[in-house]
Amino acid sequence: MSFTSSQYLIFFAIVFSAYWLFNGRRGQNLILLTASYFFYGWHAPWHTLVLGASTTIDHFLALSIERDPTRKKFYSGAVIFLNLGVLAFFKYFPVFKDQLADFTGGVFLLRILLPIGLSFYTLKKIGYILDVARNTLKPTHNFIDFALYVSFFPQVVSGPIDRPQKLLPQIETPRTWKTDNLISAWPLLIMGLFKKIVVADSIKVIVDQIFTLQEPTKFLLLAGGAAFTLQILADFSAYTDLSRGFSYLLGFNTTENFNRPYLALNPSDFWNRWHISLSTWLRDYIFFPARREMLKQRSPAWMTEMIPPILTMLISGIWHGVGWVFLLWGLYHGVMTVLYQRFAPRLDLKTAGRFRIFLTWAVMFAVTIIGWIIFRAPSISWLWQAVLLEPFAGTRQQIIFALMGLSMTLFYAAPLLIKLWLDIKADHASWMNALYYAAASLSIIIYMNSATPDFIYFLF
Amino acid sequence: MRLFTRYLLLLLTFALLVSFIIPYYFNMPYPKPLGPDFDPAARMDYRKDINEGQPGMVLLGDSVLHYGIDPLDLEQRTNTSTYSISIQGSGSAVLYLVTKNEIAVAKSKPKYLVVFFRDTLLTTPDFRVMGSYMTQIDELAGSEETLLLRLAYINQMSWIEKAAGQYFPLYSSQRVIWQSINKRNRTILPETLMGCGLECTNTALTSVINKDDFENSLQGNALQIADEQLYKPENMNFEERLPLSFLPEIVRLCNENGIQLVLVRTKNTFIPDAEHERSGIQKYIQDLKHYAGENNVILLDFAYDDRLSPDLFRDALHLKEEGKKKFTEILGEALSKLMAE
Repeated sequence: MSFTSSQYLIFFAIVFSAYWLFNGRRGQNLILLTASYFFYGWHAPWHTLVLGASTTIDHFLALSIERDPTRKKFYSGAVIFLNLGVLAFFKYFPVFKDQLADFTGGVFLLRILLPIGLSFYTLKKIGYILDVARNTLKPTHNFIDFALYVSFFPQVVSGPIDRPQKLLPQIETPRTWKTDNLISAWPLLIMGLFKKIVVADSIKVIVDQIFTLQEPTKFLLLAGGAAFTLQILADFSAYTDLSRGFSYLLGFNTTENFNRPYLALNPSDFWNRWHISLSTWLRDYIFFPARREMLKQRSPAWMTEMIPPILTMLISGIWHGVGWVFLLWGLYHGVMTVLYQRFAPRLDLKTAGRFRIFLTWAVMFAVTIIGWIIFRAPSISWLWQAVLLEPFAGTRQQIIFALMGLSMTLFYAAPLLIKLWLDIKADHASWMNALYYAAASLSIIIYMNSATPDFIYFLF
Repeated sequence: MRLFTRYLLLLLTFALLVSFIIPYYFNMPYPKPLGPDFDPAARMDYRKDINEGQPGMVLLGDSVLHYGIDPLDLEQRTNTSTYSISIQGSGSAVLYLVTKNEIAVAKSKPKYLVVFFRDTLLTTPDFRVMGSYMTQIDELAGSEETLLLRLAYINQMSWIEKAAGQYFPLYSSQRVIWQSINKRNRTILPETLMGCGLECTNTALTSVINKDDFENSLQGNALQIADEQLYKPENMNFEERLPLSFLPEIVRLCNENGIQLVLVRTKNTFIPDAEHERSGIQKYIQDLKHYAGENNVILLDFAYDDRLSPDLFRDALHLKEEGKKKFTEILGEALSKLMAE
């Protein structure tokens, strides 16, 4: 059930009404948990079995760690093994399904699909267990609360990957309706719908066309890359905005996932602004532990500088998808981070001139676009062909097509740039801002039946 | 709260303004009749070709037909002059419009109309009728398309959509506004830098997005996602869907005009054999066969034909050149047998 579908609006209206009719925390949590499982199982009810079974096991293993801290390594290892095993099975199953079907002769294997959101809630649960094992979090004894933390429907499909320290205390606290909920929610809901329906879905058409061409020229590839750079930001940040907006309406304040990522001036800065809940998860559970371990082992300085970022980004690549392009994308970002740390001159924003800041930004933006081209490329061989063997501009028709792509990108990027400008320059409650939201609302009505593709991050 | 109040105030003002301006600007009645407006003059003219060529057999389908059948080869194999109408991405609404506005009204009517379909496409009237597909439908629709509007659009609307479509002009004219924005935004740079306007960009688009240039092996997932609508449980119930679909009307038009309707179910590689077929589809096809038998319609089912092996497909739906030869041969054989009977 997509956040932009009419079924979801009906579903949310029912949940919202029932939820606020209850005053007690327990009743509210039970309603939310039931709604979350209903939402999650909407397309494939058996997916709730995977979610429910893994949640139950993790809950009891977390309590086991608390009961017997001497065996915490064993329990946390079991949780990581189980969760990553389930994730790897479902992610890599499609790759090996033909061989498995031949081996087992069972047709049921052909129908197994990756449960949506598995990558997201797996990280949520692993983070929870590791925090319990590190004594930085006391596990909840209430199964409903834990199950709700894992399956909370505004987040279960595509995040944000909220930390237990942020979400669990809110689940454990009584909630009453406040006008502030609505005040915080409505701008997010409008921007979410606007970015998804007007921007992301409109630009998706040209992106899909370019990245399905057999032999795109380099100029077409760049135009497609620029368009995808806009599409993925609009699409994913739209999902986060809607998720946060719906959470606010239920009385929850969830994590902000984007902080103007395309204004980043270097790779580390980019990852501090893009998909923040995933970046901080990777930083806390992969990067820091890997670096600590290497320092403990007294590894050479160049290794402690290089390996943790590359390893972290490679894991990020694998998390995003199956295939060499995702691995290459992770490696690319890892290498860029290392190169920046090692060779790039430090930029002091206070003393640097505007031109220098602009140049630094332009280089980083180009690095970002190249990264997204790798990410969106259908295969390494396709990318190789386009980058090394195809001409730069191609025929007049190909140049015009690429210019069309750039035109659409600029056109649909404009409202997001205006919003950025308003956020920086205008007063929050100004007439300008109100005008922007009103225009965005009317645009949503105009565009609402033009296309209905799913959010990109549903695939992960 | 202040921002919210200001927003509501502006939104209401704009909504009221556009509710007066749009009907005036587009010369639109108020309340507006339900469903989209179509240009009264159908612009696609297959009828002319049929009248001139006087084919004995017309083939009708989407890109599966384009990649699956060589009309000249089929013509030789069946000894029947053949005209092929393959419209990329066509759903049952397009099949109905071509049958009604092009084939049934042609002066020289073909003896056979061979319609290519997959699974539940013939009884899913709302498949591929929104967004860009609406432009395609517009090019085939005539001035009186009550059935099209009812089956493909009005039946699919909730009461909110119906109310908005009638009483809120911004909603009812969304397609016209959206299309005019889209036409303009994509020509900004080509026009400024290369003097290439709308027509010129359209030519470039068609030239580059020629389907032959597509990396077909990459389309499997996209095709499967695009076809998901056909496999919704409610769409696999033939008995329930039939009266809500274009199929009875296509059958009636053929029967009344002395055209033998032949339905050809094509193969795809998602589910290439009967053993692995969804039970809902198995039941659906049984019911369709029964219906065809009762209504003078011939159904040829190649969905699980072993002769069309997976290596003959360029993607999950479309055949390669060798596959095209093979399928033409198989279909030719089946049609020749049928014509001889």
